[in-house]
Amino acid sequence: MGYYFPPLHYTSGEIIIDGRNISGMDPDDVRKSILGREISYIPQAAMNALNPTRRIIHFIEDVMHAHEPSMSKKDILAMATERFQVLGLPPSVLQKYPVELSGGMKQRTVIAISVILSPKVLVADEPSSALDVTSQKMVIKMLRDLMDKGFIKSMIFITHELPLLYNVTDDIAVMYAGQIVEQGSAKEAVFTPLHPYSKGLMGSIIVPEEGLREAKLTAIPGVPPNLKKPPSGCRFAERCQYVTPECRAHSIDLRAISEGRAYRCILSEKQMQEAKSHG
Amino acid sequence: MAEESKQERKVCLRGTNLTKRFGFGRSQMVAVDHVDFQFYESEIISIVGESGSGKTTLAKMLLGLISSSDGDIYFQEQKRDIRSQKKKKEYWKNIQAIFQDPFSSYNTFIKIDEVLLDCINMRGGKKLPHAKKVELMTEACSFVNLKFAELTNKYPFELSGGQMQRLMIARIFLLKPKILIADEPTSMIDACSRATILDMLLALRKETGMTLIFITHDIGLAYFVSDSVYIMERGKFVESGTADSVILHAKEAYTKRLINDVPKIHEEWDLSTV
Repeated sequence: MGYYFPPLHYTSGEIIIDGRNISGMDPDDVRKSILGREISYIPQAAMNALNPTRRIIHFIEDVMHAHEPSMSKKDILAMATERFQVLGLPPSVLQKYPVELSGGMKQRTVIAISVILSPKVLVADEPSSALDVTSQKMVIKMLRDLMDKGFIKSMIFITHELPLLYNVTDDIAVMYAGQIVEQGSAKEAVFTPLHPYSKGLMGSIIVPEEGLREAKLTAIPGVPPNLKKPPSGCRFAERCQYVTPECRAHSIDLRAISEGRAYRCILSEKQMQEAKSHG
Repeated sequence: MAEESKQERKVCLRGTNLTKRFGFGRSQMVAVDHVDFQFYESEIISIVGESGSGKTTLAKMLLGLISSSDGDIYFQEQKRDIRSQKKKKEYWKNIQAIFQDPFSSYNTFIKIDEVLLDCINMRGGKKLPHAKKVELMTEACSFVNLKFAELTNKYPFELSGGQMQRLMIARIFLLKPKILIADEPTSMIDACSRATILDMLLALRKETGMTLIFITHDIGLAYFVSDSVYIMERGKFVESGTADSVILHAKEAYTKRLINDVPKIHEEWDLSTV
Protein backbone atom coordinates (compact mmCIF):
# COMPACT_ATOMS: atom_id res chain seq x y z
CA MET A 1 0.00 0.00 0.00
CA GLY A 2 3.01 2.27 0.21
CA TYR A 3 1.85 3.70 3.51
CA TYR A 4 3.47 2.14 6.47
CA PHE A 5 4.17 2.26 10.13
CA PRO A 6 6.92 0.25 11.71
CA PRO A 7 7.25 -2.74 11.69
CA LEU A 8 5.59 -2.79 8.30
CA HIS A 9 8.26 -1.09 6.21
CA TYR A 10 9.72 -2.97 3.32
CA THR A 11 13.41 -3.67 3.09
CA SER A 12 13.71 -3.53 -0.69
CA GLY A 13 11.73 -3.26 -3.89
CA GLU A 14 9.36 -0.73 -5.38
CA ILE A 15 5.63 -0.25 -5.69
CA ILE A 16 4.56 1.37 -8.93
CA ILE A 17 0.95 2.38 -9.47
CA ASP A 18 0.07 3.53 -12.95
CA GLY A 19 3.65 4.52 -13.74
CA ARG A 20 4.18 6.32 -10.44
CA ASN A 21 6.68 4.99 -7.94
CA ILE A 22 5.16 5.40 -4.50
CA SER A 23 7.70 3.49 -2.44
CA GLY A 24 9.99 6.45 -1.72
CA MET A 25 7.22 8.93 -1.02
CA ASP A 26 6.58 10.67 2.26
CA PRO A 27 3.96 8.72 4.25
CA ASP A 28 1.82 11.83 4.62
CA ASP A 29 1.75 12.41 0.87
CA VAL A 30 0.89 8.77 0.36
CA ARG A 31 -2.05 9.09 2.70
CA LYS A 32 -3.34 12.27 1.10
CA SER A 33 -2.89 11.61 -2.57
CA ILE A 34 -2.47 7.86 -3.06
CA LEU A 35 -4.65 6.04 -0.55
CA GLY A 36 -8.28 6.05 -1.53
CA ARG A 37 -7.61 7.71 -4.88
CA GLU A 38 -5.07 5.42 -6.48
CA ILE A 39 -5.27 2.34 -4.31
CA SER A 40 -7.73 1.29 -1.67
CA TYR A 41 -7.92 -1.60 0.72
CA ILE A 42 -10.67 -3.75 2.22
CA PRO A 43 -9.14 -5.41 5.27
CA GLN A 44 -10.03 -8.86 6.53
CA ALA A 45 -13.13 -8.69 8.77
CA ALA A 46 -13.84 -5.27 7.29
CA MET A 47 -17.17 -5.11 9.00
CA ASN A 48 -15.39 -4.50 12.29
CA ALA A 49 -13.84 -1.35 10.81
CA LEU A 50 -17.00 0.68 11.41
CA ASN A 51 -17.24 2.81 14.53
CA PRO A 52 -20.22 1.44 16.51
CA THR A 53 -21.09 4.85 17.99
CA ARG A 54 -21.41 6.78 14.74
CA ARG A 55 -23.78 6.66 11.80
CA ILE A 56 -22.46 5.38 8.47
CA ILE A 57 -22.68 8.82 6.87
CA HIS A 58 -20.23 10.21 9.46
CA PHE A 59 -17.69 7.70 8.34
CA ILE A 60 -18.08 8.87 4.76
CA GLU A 61 -17.84 12.52 5.80
CA ASP A 62 -14.58 11.71 7.56
CA VAL A 63 -13.14 10.11 4.46
CA MET A 64 -14.23 12.99 2.23
CA HIS A 65 -12.93 15.67 4.60
CA ALA A 66 -9.50 14.12 4.55
CA HIS A 67 -9.38 14.14 0.77
CA GLU A 68 -11.60 17.02 -0.33
CA PRO A 69 -11.91 19.51 2.53
CA SER A 70 -13.96 21.93 0.46
CA MET A 71 -16.89 19.59 -0.05
CA SER A 72 -20.00 20.45 1.99
CA LYS A 73 -21.91 17.92 4.07
CA LYS A 74 -24.90 18.29 1.77
CA ASP A 75 -22.82 17.45 -1.29
CA ILE A 76 -21.29 14.50 0.49
CA LEU A 77 -24.72 13.14 1.38
CA ALA A 78 -25.94 13.58 -2.19
CA MET A 79 -22.88 11.89 -3.60
CA ALA A 80 -23.00 9.01 -1.10
CA THR A 81 -26.73 8.47 -1.71
CA GLU A 82 -26.18 8.28 -5.43
CA ARG A 83 -23.23 5.95 -5.10
CA PHE A 84 -25.09 3.62 -2.72
CA GLN A 85 -28.05 3.48 -5.09
CA VAL A 86 -25.85 2.57 -8.04
CA LEU A 87 -24.32 -0.25 -6.03
CA GLY A 88 -27.68 -1.62 -4.95
CA LEU A 89 -27.49 -0.58 -1.30
CA PRO A 90 -30.52 1.18 0.19
CA PRO A 91 -29.58 4.83 0.94
CA SER A 92 -31.33 4.51 4.32
CA VAL A 93 -28.21 2.63 5.41
CA LEU A 94 -26.38 5.96 5.54
CA GLN A 95 -28.37 7.11 8.55
CA LYS A 96 -28.01 3.86 10.45
CA TYR A 97 -25.58 2.67 13.10
CA PRO A 98 -23.44 -0.38 12.33
CA VAL A 99 -25.30 -2.56 14.85
CA GLU A 100 -28.48 -2.10 12.83
CA LEU A 101 -26.95 -3.78 9.79
CA SER A 102 -26.40 -7.48 9.10
CA GLY A 103 -22.90 -8.84 8.53
CA GLY A 104 -23.24 -8.95 4.76
CA MET A 105 -24.68 -5.46 4.66
CA LYS A 106 -21.85 -4.08 6.81
CA GLN A 107 -19.33 -5.71 4.55
CA ARG A 108 -20.90 -4.18 1.44
CA THR A 109 -21.10 -0.81 3.15
CA VAL A 110 -17.39 -0.88 3.95
CA ILE A 111 -16.63 -1.85 0.37
CA ALA A 112 -18.77 1.01 -0.95
CA ILE A 113 -16.97 3.46 1.34
CA SER A 114 -13.51 2.20 0.48
CA VAL A 115 -14.12 2.87 -3.23
CA ILE A 116 -15.91 6.18 -2.77
CA LEU A 117 -13.03 8.07 -4.40
CA SER A 118 -12.92 5.62 -7.33
CA PRO A 119 -9.41 4.25 -6.83
CA LYS A 120 -7.56 2.59 -9.67
CA VAL A 121 -6.70 -0.51 -7.69
CA LEU A 122 -8.71 -2.20 -4.96
CA VAL A 123 -7.03 -4.71 -2.66
CA ALA A 124 -9.68 -7.01 -1.19
CA ASP A 125 -8.31 -9.22 1.60
CA GLU A 126 -10.72 -12.12 2.23
CA PRO A 127 -13.73 -9.85 1.69
CA SER A 128 -16.25 -12.65 2.02
CA SER A 129 -14.71 -15.35 4.20
CA ALA A 130 -16.69 -14.51 7.36
CA LEU A 131 -20.04 -14.50 5.53
CA ASP A 132 -22.50 -17.21 4.63
CA VAL A 133 -22.79 -18.27 1.02
CA THR A 134 -25.70 -16.00 0.12
CA SER A 135 -24.13 -12.84 1.54
CA GLN A 136 -20.86 -13.89 -0.03
CA LYS A 137 -22.49 -13.96 -3.41
CA MET A 138 -23.92 -10.47 -2.90
CA VAL A 139 -20.48 -9.15 -1.98
CA ILE A 140 -18.93 -10.74 -5.05
CA LYS A 141 -21.65 -9.34 -7.27
CA MET A 142 -20.95 -5.89 -5.86
CA LEU A 143 -17.22 -6.19 -6.53
CA ARG A 144 -17.97 -7.23 -10.10
CA ASP A 145 -20.37 -4.31 -10.47
CA LEU A 146 -17.63 -1.95 -9.34
CA MET A 147 -15.43 -3.23 -12.13
CA ASP A 148 -18.19 -3.22 -14.75
CA LYS A 149 -19.35 0.29 -13.90
CA GLY A 150 -15.79 1.62 -13.98
CA PHE A 151 -15.48 2.73 -10.36
CA ILE A 152 -12.32 0.69 -10.05
CA LYS A 153 -9.98 -0.37 -12.82
CA SER A 154 -8.44 -3.45 -11.28
CA MET A 155 -8.71 -5.57 -8.22
CA ILE A 156 -6.39 -7.78 -6.21
CA PHE A 157 -8.43 -10.46 -4.52
CA ILE A 158 -6.76 -12.27 -1.62
CA THR A 159 -8.35 -15.52 -0.51
CA HIS A 160 -7.90 -19.23 0.10
CA GLU A 161 -11.25 -20.12 -1.46
CA LEU A 162 -10.28 -21.44 -4.87
CA PRO A 163 -13.75 -21.92 -6.35
CA LEU A 164 -14.47 -18.31 -5.50
CA LEU A 165 -11.21 -17.08 -6.97
CA TYR A 166 -11.83 -19.04 -10.14
CA ASN A 167 -15.17 -17.33 -10.62
CA VAL A 168 -13.97 -13.82 -9.87
CA THR A 169 -10.50 -13.35 -11.26
CA ASP A 170 -8.70 -13.36 -14.60
CA ASP A 171 -5.30 -14.38 -13.26
CA ILE A 172 -4.22 -16.27 -10.17
CA ALA A 173 -0.89 -16.11 -8.35
CA VAL A 174 -0.40 -18.81 -5.71
CA MET A 175 1.72 -17.85 -2.72
CA TYR A 176 3.54 -20.16 -0.35
CA ALA A 177 5.73 -19.12 2.58
CA GLY A 178 6.21 -15.58 1.32
CA GLN A 179 6.93 -16.43 -2.29
CA ILE A 180 4.85 -16.59 -5.43
CA VAL A 181 5.08 -20.23 -6.48
CA GLU A 182 2.80 -20.16 -9.49
CA GLN A 183 1.23 -17.64 -11.82
CA GLY A 184 -1.25 -18.11 -14.60
CA SER A 185 -4.74 -17.47 -15.84
CA ALA A 186 -7.54 -18.63 -13.56
CA LYS A 187 -8.30 -21.57 -15.82
CA GLU A 188 -4.68 -22.71 -16.09
CA ALA A 189 -4.03 -22.40 -12.37
CA VAL A 190 -7.13 -24.38 -11.41
CA PHE A 191 -7.18 -27.11 -14.03
CA THR A 192 -3.50 -27.57 -14.86
CA PRO A 193 -1.54 -26.53 -11.78
CA LEU A 194 2.23 -26.88 -12.16
CA HIS A 195 3.61 -26.38 -8.67
CA PRO A 196 3.13 -29.26 -6.20
CA TYR A 197 1.66 -26.87 -3.63
CA SER A 198 -0.95 -25.51 -6.04
CA LYS A 199 -1.79 -29.10 -6.92
CA GLY A 200 -2.39 -29.79 -3.26
CA LEU A 201 -4.63 -26.76 -3.00
CA MET A 202 -6.65 -27.79 -6.02
CA GLY A 203 -7.07 -31.23 -4.46
CA SER A 204 -8.78 -29.76 -1.42
CA ILE A 205 -11.64 -28.08 -3.26
CA ILE A 206 -15.12 -28.99 -2.05
CA VAL A 207 -18.00 -28.03 -4.33
CA PRO A 208 -21.49 -29.53 -4.43
CA GLU A 209 -21.15 -31.24 -7.79
CA GLU A 210 -21.82 -34.79 -8.78
CA GLY A 211 -18.86 -37.10 -8.22
CA LEU A 212 -17.52 -35.15 -5.27
CA ARG A 213 -18.44 -37.78 -2.72
CA GLU A 214 -16.33 -40.36 -4.49
CA ALA A 215 -13.37 -38.01 -4.72
CA LYS A 216 -10.69 -38.13 -2.07
CA LEU A 217 -9.49 -34.91 -0.53
CA THR A 218 -5.73 -34.57 -0.62
CA ALA A 219 -4.39 -32.92 2.47
CA ILE A 220 -0.82 -31.64 2.27
CA PRO A 221 1.16 -33.15 5.15
CA GLY A 222 3.19 -30.98 7.51
CA VAL A 223 3.11 -27.28 8.25
CA PRO A 224 4.52 -24.18 6.50
CA PRO A 225 8.16 -23.40 7.40
CA ASN A 226 9.11 -20.93 10.08
CA LEU A 227 9.90 -17.75 8.16
CA LYS A 228 12.23 -16.49 10.83
CA LYS A 229 14.67 -19.03 9.44
CA PRO A 230 13.40 -19.87 5.95
CA PRO A 231 14.89 -23.02 4.44
CA SER A 232 17.79 -22.37 2.06
CA GLY A 233 16.40 -24.46 -0.79
CA CYS A 234 12.85 -24.76 -2.03
CA ARG A 235 10.52 -23.60 0.74
CA PHE A 236 7.99 -26.33 -0.02
CA ALA A 237 10.56 -29.18 -0.02
CA GLU A 238 9.64 -30.51 3.44
CA ARG A 239 6.06 -31.18 2.38
CA CYS A 240 6.56 -32.05 -1.27
CA GLN A 241 5.98 -35.56 -2.56
CA TYR A 242 8.33 -35.10 -5.53
CA VAL A 243 11.25 -33.79 -3.47
CA THR A 244 14.84 -34.52 -4.64
CA PRO A 245 18.16 -33.67 -2.94
CA GLU A 246 18.63 -30.93 -5.51
CA CYS A 247 15.53 -29.12 -4.21
CA ARG A 248 17.14 -28.52 -0.85
CA ALA A 249 20.51 -27.44 -2.25
CA HIS A 250 19.73 -23.96 -3.59
CA SER A 251 16.83 -21.58 -3.82
CA ILE A 252 14.60 -21.94 -6.84
CA ASP A 253 13.66 -19.11 -9.18
CA LEU A 254 10.29 -18.36 -10.60
CA ARG A 255 10.48 -19.71 -14.15
CA ALA A 256 8.39 -18.12 -16.86
CA ILE A 257 7.16 -20.64 -19.41
CA SER A 258 4.91 -18.39 -21.45
CA GLU A 259 3.27 -14.98 -21.34
CA GLY A 260 1.83 -14.59 -17.85
CA ARG A 261 2.53 -18.18 -16.82
CA ALA A 262 5.32 -19.05 -14.41
CA TYR A 263 6.13 -21.45 -11.61
CA ARG A 264 8.81 -22.10 -9.02
CA CYS A 265 9.87 -25.75 -9.21
CA ILE A 266 12.76 -27.70 -10.67
CA LEU A 267 10.49 -30.27 -12.30
CA SER A 268 9.78 -29.53 -15.94
CA GLU A 269 6.28 -29.03 -17.20
CA LYS A 270 6.35 -32.46 -18.78
CA GLN A 271 7.60 -34.21 -15.65
CA MET A 272 4.87 -32.52 -13.70
CA GLN A 273 2.15 -33.72 -16.06
CA GLU A 274 3.48 -37.26 -15.86
CA ALA A 275 3.70 -37.11 -12.08
CA LYS A 276 0.10 -35.98 -12.03
CA SER A 277 -1.15 -38.89 -14.08
CA HIS A 278 0.60 -41.25 -11.65
CA GLY A 279 -0.53 -39.46 -8.55
CA MET B 1 -26.65 -45.05 3.53
CA ALA B 2 -29.19 -47.63 2.46
CA GLU B 3 -32.69 -47.55 3.89
CA GLU B 4 -32.71 -51.08 5.29
CA SER B 5 -29.63 -50.50 7.43
CA LYS B 6 -31.31 -47.45 8.87
CA GLN B 7 -34.03 -49.54 10.41
CA GLU B 8 -31.56 -51.73 12.27
CA ARG B 9 -29.62 -48.81 13.64
CA LYS B 10 -30.51 -47.33 16.96
CA VAL B 11 -31.72 -43.80 17.31
CA CYS B 12 -29.14 -41.81 19.19
CA LEU B 13 -30.73 -38.42 19.49
CA ARG B 14 -34.33 -37.54 18.82
CA GLY B 15 -36.14 -34.25 19.04
CA THR B 16 -39.88 -33.65 18.93
CA ASN B 17 -41.48 -30.28 18.46
CA LEU B 18 -38.28 -28.58 19.58
CA THR B 19 -38.74 -24.82 19.79
CA LYS B 20 -36.73 -21.86 21.01
CA ARG B 21 -38.24 -18.43 21.36
CA PHE B 22 -36.28 -15.31 22.24
CA GLY B 23 -37.80 -12.15 23.67
CA PHE B 24 -41.33 -11.36 24.74
CA GLY B 25 -44.43 -9.79 23.29
CA ARG B 26 -44.02 -7.90 20.07
CA SER B 27 -40.25 -8.28 19.90
CA GLN B 28 -40.52 -12.05 20.26
CA MET B 29 -38.83 -14.12 17.60
CA VAL B 30 -38.83 -17.83 17.06
CA ALA B 31 -35.27 -18.99 16.39
CA VAL B 32 -36.07 -22.69 16.18
CA ASP B 33 -39.62 -23.45 15.16
CA HIS B 34 -41.10 -26.85 16.09
CA VAL B 35 -38.49 -29.09 14.54
CA ASP B 36 -38.53 -32.88 14.60
CA PHE B 37 -35.52 -35.04 13.88
CA GLN B 38 -33.98 -38.45 14.46
CA PHE B 39 -30.24 -38.90 14.42
CA TYR B 40 -29.01 -42.48 14.27
CA GLU B 41 -25.95 -43.96 15.90
CA SER B 42 -22.70 -43.40 14.00
CA GLU B 43 -24.48 -41.42 11.32
CA ILE B 44 -23.02 -38.24 9.85
CA ILE B 45 -25.60 -35.49 9.72
CA SER B 46 -25.33 -31.99 8.30
CA ILE B 47 -27.60 -29.13 9.23
CA VAL B 48 -27.34 -26.49 6.51
CA GLY B 49 -28.79 -23.02 6.39
CA GLU B 50 -27.84 -19.38 5.96
CA SER B 51 -26.88 -17.02 8.79
CA GLY B 52 -29.73 -16.48 11.20
CA SER B 53 -31.60 -19.64 10.26
CA GLY B 54 -31.28 -21.04 13.78
CA LYS B 55 -28.61 -23.69 13.26
CA THR B 56 -26.42 -22.64 16.15
CA THR B 57 -29.40 -22.17 18.47
CA LEU B 58 -30.43 -25.73 17.70
CA ALA B 59 -26.91 -26.96 18.36
CA LYS B 60 -26.83 -25.15 21.70
CA MET B 61 -30.12 -26.74 22.69
CA LEU B 62 -28.82 -30.18 21.78
CA LEU B 63 -25.76 -29.51 23.90
CA GLY B 64 -27.87 -28.32 26.79
CA LEU B 65 -26.21 -24.91 26.83
CA ILE B 66 -29.56 -23.16 26.50
CA SER B 67 -32.96 -24.46 27.49
CA SER B 68 -35.71 -25.10 24.97
CA SER B 69 -38.98 -23.19 25.07
CA ASP B 70 -41.00 -26.15 23.92
CA GLY B 71 -40.56 -29.74 22.85
CA ASP B 72 -38.40 -32.59 24.09
CA ILE B 73 -35.03 -34.09 23.39
CA TYR B 74 -34.55 -37.83 23.77
CA PHE B 75 -31.06 -39.21 24.19
CA GLN B 76 -30.86 -42.95 23.43
CA GLU B 77 -34.64 -43.09 23.64
CA GLN B 78 -34.65 -41.69 27.17
CA LYS B 79 -35.97 -38.25 27.81
CA ARG B 80 -33.01 -36.04 28.48
CA ASP B 81 -32.68 -34.90 32.07
CA ILE B 82 -30.09 -32.21 32.77
CA ARG B 83 -31.79 -30.35 35.54
CA SER B 84 -28.87 -30.56 37.94
CA GLN B 85 -25.23 -29.68 37.32
CA LYS B 86 -24.25 -33.27 38.09
CA LYS B 87 -26.63 -34.64 35.48
CA LYS B 88 -25.39 -32.05 33.00
CA LYS B 89 -21.81 -33.20 33.47
CA GLU B 90 -22.93 -36.78 32.97
CA TYR B 91 -24.69 -35.73 29.74
CA TRP B 92 -21.61 -33.93 28.48
CA LYS B 93 -19.65 -37.16 28.67
CA ASN B 94 -21.85 -38.27 25.81
CA ILE B 95 -22.14 -35.12 23.76
CA GLN B 96 -19.32 -32.73 22.89
CA ALA B 97 -18.76 -29.91 20.45
CA ILE B 98 -16.15 -28.19 18.31
CA PHE B 99 -16.91 -24.56 17.64
CA GLN B 100 -16.25 -22.27 14.74
CA ASP B 101 -13.70 -19.99 16.34
CA PRO B 102 -10.83 -21.93 17.91
CA PHE B 103 -9.42 -18.71 19.36
CA SER B 104 -12.38 -18.30 21.68
CA SER B 105 -12.81 -21.98 22.53
CA TYR B 106 -10.03 -22.08 25.11
CA ASN B 107 -9.50 -20.45 28.45
CA THR B 108 -6.43 -18.28 27.94
CA PHE B 109 -5.15 -18.93 31.45
CA ILE B 110 -5.27 -22.72 31.31
CA LYS B 111 -2.30 -24.62 29.92
CA ILE B 112 -2.75 -27.23 27.23
CA ASP B 113 -1.72 -30.05 29.59
CA GLU B 114 -4.56 -29.16 31.85
CA VAL B 115 -7.05 -29.00 28.98
CA LEU B 116 -6.16 -32.57 28.06
CA LEU B 117 -5.89 -33.81 31.66
CA ASP B 118 -9.38 -32.54 32.25
CA CYS B 119 -10.64 -34.86 29.53
CA ILE B 120 -8.86 -37.84 31.05
CA ASN B 121 -10.30 -37.04 34.46
CA MET B 122 -13.75 -36.70 32.98
CA ARG B 123 -13.48 -40.20 31.54
CA GLY B 124 -12.73 -41.53 35.02
CA GLY B 125 -8.97 -41.65 34.67
CA LYS B 126 -8.31 -39.41 37.64
CA LYS B 127 -6.45 -42.06 39.62
CA LEU B 128 -4.22 -43.21 36.77
CA PRO B 129 -0.46 -42.83 37.32
CA HIS B 130 1.03 -39.71 35.76
CA ALA B 131 3.09 -41.66 33.22
CA LYS B 132 -0.07 -43.32 31.93
CA LYS B 133 -1.79 -39.95 31.58
CA VAL B 134 1.14 -38.57 29.60
CA GLU B 135 1.00 -41.63 27.39
CA LEU B 136 -2.71 -41.05 26.74
CA MET B 137 -2.13 -37.37 25.96
CA THR B 138 0.76 -38.18 23.64
CA GLU B 139 -1.41 -40.68 21.81
CA ALA B 140 -4.23 -38.16 21.43
CA CYS B 141 -1.87 -35.50 20.13
CA SER B 142 -0.21 -37.81 17.65
CA PHE B 143 -3.65 -38.77 16.35
CA VAL B 144 -4.06 -35.18 15.20
CA ASN B 145 -0.43 -34.81 14.05
CA LEU B 146 0.64 -32.71 16.99
CA LYS B 147 3.63 -33.46 19.19
CA PHE B 148 2.76 -33.50 22.86
CA ALA B 149 6.38 -32.83 23.81
CA GLU B 150 6.19 -29.51 21.94
CA LEU B 151 2.85 -28.54 23.44
CA THR B 152 3.38 -29.35 27.06
CA ASN B 153 3.57 -26.36 29.36
CA LYS B 154 2.30 -24.03 26.61
CA TYR B 155 -0.78 -21.85 26.61
CA PRO B 156 -3.45 -22.14 23.90
CA PHE B 157 -2.69 -18.69 22.46
CA GLU B 158 0.79 -19.88 21.51
CA LEU B 159 -0.73 -22.16 18.86
CA SER B 160 -1.99 -21.32 15.37
CA GLY B 161 -5.69 -21.52 14.53
CA GLY B 162 -5.28 -24.84 12.73
CA GLN B 163 -3.31 -26.31 15.63
CA MET B 164 -5.94 -25.16 18.14
CA GLN B 165 -8.67 -26.78 16.10
CA ARG B 166 -6.67 -29.99 15.95
CA LEU B 167 -6.13 -29.89 19.69
CA MET B 168 -9.90 -29.64 19.99
CA ILE B 169 -10.12 -32.90 18.06
CA ALA B 170 -7.48 -34.41 20.35
CA ARG B 171 -9.80 -33.58 23.26
CA ILE B 172 -12.61 -35.40 21.51
CA PHE B 173 -10.27 -38.34 20.94
CA LEU B 174 -9.71 -38.58 24.69
CA LEU B 175 -13.35 -38.07 25.60
CA LYS B 176 -14.81 -40.44 23.01
CA PRO B 177 -18.33 -39.01 23.24
CA LYS B 178 -21.35 -40.67 21.63
CA ILE B 179 -22.20 -37.50 19.73
CA LEU B 180 -20.00 -34.74 18.39
CA ILE B 181 -21.47 -31.47 17.19
CA ALA B 182 -19.12 -29.60 14.86
CA ASP B 183 -20.37 -26.04 14.43
CA GLU B 184 -18.66 -24.63 11.33
CA PRO B 185 -15.39 -26.35 12.33
CA THR B 186 -13.53 -25.33 9.19
CA SER B 187 -14.85 -21.92 8.23
CA MET B 188 -12.06 -19.98 9.92
CA ILE B 189 -9.13 -22.00 8.59
CA ASP B 190 -7.57 -22.20 5.16
CA ALA B 191 -8.56 -24.66 2.47
CA CYS B 192 -5.62 -26.96 2.98
CA SER B 193 -5.98 -27.34 6.73
CA ARG B 194 -9.67 -27.84 6.09
CA ALA B 195 -9.00 -31.11 4.30
CA THR B 196 -6.78 -32.22 7.20
CA ILE B 197 -9.40 -31.38 9.83
CA LEU B 198 -12.14 -33.16 7.91
CA ASP B 199 -9.96 -36.23 7.44
CA MET B 200 -9.28 -36.32 11.17
CA LEU B 201 -12.93 -35.97 12.11
CA LEU B 202 -13.91 -38.75 9.74
CA ALA B 203 -11.09 -40.99 11.00
CA LEU B 204 -12.20 -40.34 14.55
CA ARG B 205 -15.75 -41.28 13.73
CA LYS B 206 -14.54 -44.48 12.14
CA GLU B 207 -12.60 -45.33 15.27
CA THR B 208 -15.20 -44.50 17.89
CA GLY B 209 -18.41 -44.94 15.92
CA MET B 210 -19.80 -41.67 17.21
CA THR B 211 -22.60 -39.67 15.67
CA LEU B 212 -21.24 -36.61 13.95
CA ILE B 213 -23.43 -33.54 13.46
CA PHE B 214 -22.03 -30.86 11.18
CA ILE B 215 -23.52 -27.40 11.35
CA THR B 216 -22.54 -25.45 8.27
CA HIS B 217 -23.59 -22.99 5.61
CA ASP B 218 -21.29 -24.65 3.10
CA ILE B 219 -23.48 -27.05 1.21
CA GLY B 220 -20.42 -28.43 -0.57
CA LEU B 221 -18.97 -29.58 2.72
CA ALA B 222 -22.33 -31.03 3.75
CA TYR B 223 -22.53 -32.99 0.54
CA PHE B 224 -18.99 -34.26 0.90
CA VAL B 225 -19.18 -35.60 4.44
CA SER B 226 -22.70 -36.49 5.37
CA ASP B 227 -25.13 -39.39 5.18
CA SER B 228 -28.17 -37.23 5.87
CA VAL B 229 -28.69 -33.54 5.26
CA TYR B 230 -31.22 -31.29 6.94
CA ILE B 231 -31.86 -27.90 5.31
CA MET B 232 -32.90 -25.22 7.75
CA GLU B 233 -34.73 -22.03 6.81
CA ARG B 234 -35.91 -19.53 9.42
CA GLY B 235 -36.01 -22.07 12.22
CA LYS B 236 -37.69 -24.87 10.29
CA PHE B 237 -36.40 -27.92 8.49
CA VAL B 238 -37.64 -27.39 4.96
CA GLU B 239 -35.99 -30.41 3.40
CA SER B 240 -34.21 -33.49 4.66
CA GLY B 241 -33.01 -36.84 3.41
CA THR B 242 -29.86 -38.54 2.18
CA ALA B 243 -27.13 -36.26 0.90
CA ASP B 244 -27.60 -37.41 -2.69
CA SER B 245 -31.34 -36.91 -2.72
CA VAL B 246 -31.25 -33.48 -1.07
CA ILE B 247 -28.36 -31.95 -2.96
CA LEU B 248 -28.44 -33.54 -6.36
CA HIS B 249 -32.24 -33.59 -6.61
CA ALA B 250 -33.27 -30.62 -4.52
CA LYS B 251 -36.99 -29.91 -4.44
CA GLU B 252 -37.28 -26.75 -2.34
CA ALA B 253 -36.46 -23.38 -3.90
CA TYR B 254 -34.44 -22.48 -0.82
CA THR B 255 -32.19 -25.54 -1.16
CA LYS B 256 -31.71 -24.78 -4.83
CA ARG B 257 -30.72 -21.24 -3.98
CA LEU B 258 -28.18 -22.39 -1.40
CA ILE B 259 -26.63 -24.75 -3.92
CA ASN B 260 -26.65 -22.04 -6.56
CA ASP B 261 -24.90 -19.60 -4.23
CA VAL B 262 -21.79 -21.74 -3.87
CA PRO B 263 -19.11 -20.91 -6.44
CA LYS B 264 -18.41 -23.94 -8.60
CA ILE B 265 -15.53 -25.05 -10.73
CA HIS B 266 -17.08 -27.01 -13.56
CA GLU B 267 -20.27 -25.02 -13.99
CA GLU B 268 -20.97 -21.38 -14.69
CA TRP B 269 -21.67 -19.40 -11.51
CA ASP B 270 -24.81 -17.37 -12.06
CA LEU B 271 -24.36 -14.00 -10.36
CA SER B 272 -27.57 -12.49 -11.68
CA THR B 273 -29.78 -14.33 -9.19
CA VAL B 274 -28.80 -12.42 -6.07
